[in-house]
Amino acid sequence: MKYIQGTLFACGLVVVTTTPAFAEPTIEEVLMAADDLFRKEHSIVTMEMTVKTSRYERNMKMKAVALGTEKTMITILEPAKEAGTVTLKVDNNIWNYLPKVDRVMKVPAGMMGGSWMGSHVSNDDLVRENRFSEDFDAKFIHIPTDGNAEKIYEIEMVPKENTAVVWGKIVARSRADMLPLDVKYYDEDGTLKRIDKFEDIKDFDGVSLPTKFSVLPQDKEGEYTTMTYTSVDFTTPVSADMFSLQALRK
Amino acid sequence: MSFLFSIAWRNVLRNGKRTLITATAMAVSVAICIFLSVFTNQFYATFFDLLVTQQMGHIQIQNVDYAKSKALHDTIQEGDALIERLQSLDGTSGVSAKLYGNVLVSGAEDSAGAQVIGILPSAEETARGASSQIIEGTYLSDTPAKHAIAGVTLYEDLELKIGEELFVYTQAADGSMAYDLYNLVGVYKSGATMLDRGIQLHVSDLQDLLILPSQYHEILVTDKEVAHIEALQADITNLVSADSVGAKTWWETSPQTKEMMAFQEVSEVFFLGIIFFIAGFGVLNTMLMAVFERTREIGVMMALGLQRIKIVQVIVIESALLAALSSVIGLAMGGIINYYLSVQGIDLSGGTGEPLQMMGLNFDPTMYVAMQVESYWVPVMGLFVIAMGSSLWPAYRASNLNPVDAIRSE
Repeated sequence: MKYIQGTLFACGLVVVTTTPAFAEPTIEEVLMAADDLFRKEHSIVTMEMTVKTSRYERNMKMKAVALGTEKTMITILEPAKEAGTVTLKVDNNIWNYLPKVDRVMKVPAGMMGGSWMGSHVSNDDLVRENRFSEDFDAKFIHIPTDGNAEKIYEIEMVPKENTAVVWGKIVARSRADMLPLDVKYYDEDGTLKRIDKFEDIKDFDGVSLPTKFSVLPQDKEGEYTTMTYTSVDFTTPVSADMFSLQALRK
Repeated sequence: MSFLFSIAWRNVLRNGKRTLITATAMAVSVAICIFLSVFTNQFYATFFDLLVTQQMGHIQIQNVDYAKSKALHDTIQEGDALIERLQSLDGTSGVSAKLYGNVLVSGAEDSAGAQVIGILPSAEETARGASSQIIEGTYLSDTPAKHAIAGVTLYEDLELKIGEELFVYTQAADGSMAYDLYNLVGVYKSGATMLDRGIQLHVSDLQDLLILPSQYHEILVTDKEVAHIEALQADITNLVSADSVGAKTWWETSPQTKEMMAFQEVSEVFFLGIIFFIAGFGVLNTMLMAVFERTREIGVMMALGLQRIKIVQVIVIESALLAALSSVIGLAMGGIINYYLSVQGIDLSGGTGEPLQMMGLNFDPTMYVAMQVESYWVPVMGLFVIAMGSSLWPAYRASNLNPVDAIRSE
């Protein structure tokens, strides 16, 4: 979950260092590396989102400004009909500014499970704070070693008892340099329900980042949501004042 | 024959008091049956009118996937053209069309999830007098003006006020955010829980919001003649070109309603059966007494050479005369009751004067029963069958008397 939030809302400043060969990272470190990738001081990102469903295809351009992971503001730039729509995320809450009626609406609890902007990402996906390691028992099922052909970490996560998690199992894969590759979500019957993919790793001021993030729901054939970064700016400062309901209207 | 008839008639008159008591009891049975019959007929006719004619429509046209999916995008395409063609069909007496959606509704104070229905205001008015359900403010006008009416439950829950702007938010069919402001012009109370928790807009306004131009989830057609629904269904099926759209009769859409209507007939027969069963014993008793009293007389007639079959005929004719007498009185009583109910009506509200709300339907507090002379003949027929049936045993007994023993009896 954190991956999505991170992908959408912030880009990592930390240079991901390759793991020294002599010290194998812990599961936590691998998972945190993926999280931390997007958990940064501040960032301004422009991206394109494509949503393909059996009924419609949507192409949007948006600008996301983030301060840490707690505060994010996404402004729709295109299409024209929706331009000016703003989503503000502060902690676990989401507000939408709707320019046509000049109104700010807090997304109510009952709609948090609903789709964000018609995509395969839910409002919940945007705010969920649960770190994998807190709700899940995680174990390595694959570790890159010298003799190993596949240079990846593969981590299996099974929800702990009494945690309110919809998934039965999650399998996350990261490259040897701990950049995320993909995450597979299984339901309680062990059926693959969704795949999140991280692709097109590019360099931004010495920071390596996957610039394309896709959600592929496995129960809806041919449907997907893809977000692609078109620019990443870690240098322009971001003020905390931006993330207020008053500021939303501007 | 006329000779047997006159014997029978004389016997009927012989014990006038007993005849009158039996005839009155049977007449009351007839009157009760007439009352039950006209009451249940009227009740179910009202029920049919409220539920089927007004709400379900005789024929429902939907996207074939919609019944199961209830999905926003499973609509009837090019609905406006279809509606026009439906209106010009011969058998059609009314066409209404609806579009449904689930939205978030916000007033000044609070917000809630609600069902929104896009309606054709004048069609709803014609079909079910929708404006009479407005308890505050006004009904929707026929030109789309971004007006909304709210169900009374939602209105109270959200503490809405007439004239305020309702903010409506949802996801449109193309995946985009859909939202707009609608001026709340009225509040309706339908009695149906779901409806009273929702809002209604002019269907064009809702089509604009959901980006479903000229699309509907449901087109409801009412037939001029309830008996011709299947023929109209065939006409409509020919008219609808798209395979994705189907026309179903009300009983195909709601078999349980059909069953309920059939249950009415069964229960009516059941009650008539009970009443006539009791009335039958009265006749049986009367005729047995009559035979028992006249044992000597019957013996004499037999001794004089009257055939046994004629004895049977006399008793049966006697019964029939009794039934005829009872019918005349019963029909008069039943007719008076029916007339009274057609003028005064029956209070269904239990004295409160509030509409009776049952299964989301609003019955008028007073139900006026139509004069249903056509439903009188069933109780009368029943009476004759029972009276003559229950006279067979006494008749058989009489015909089997030994004339010699019979003459000697007291």
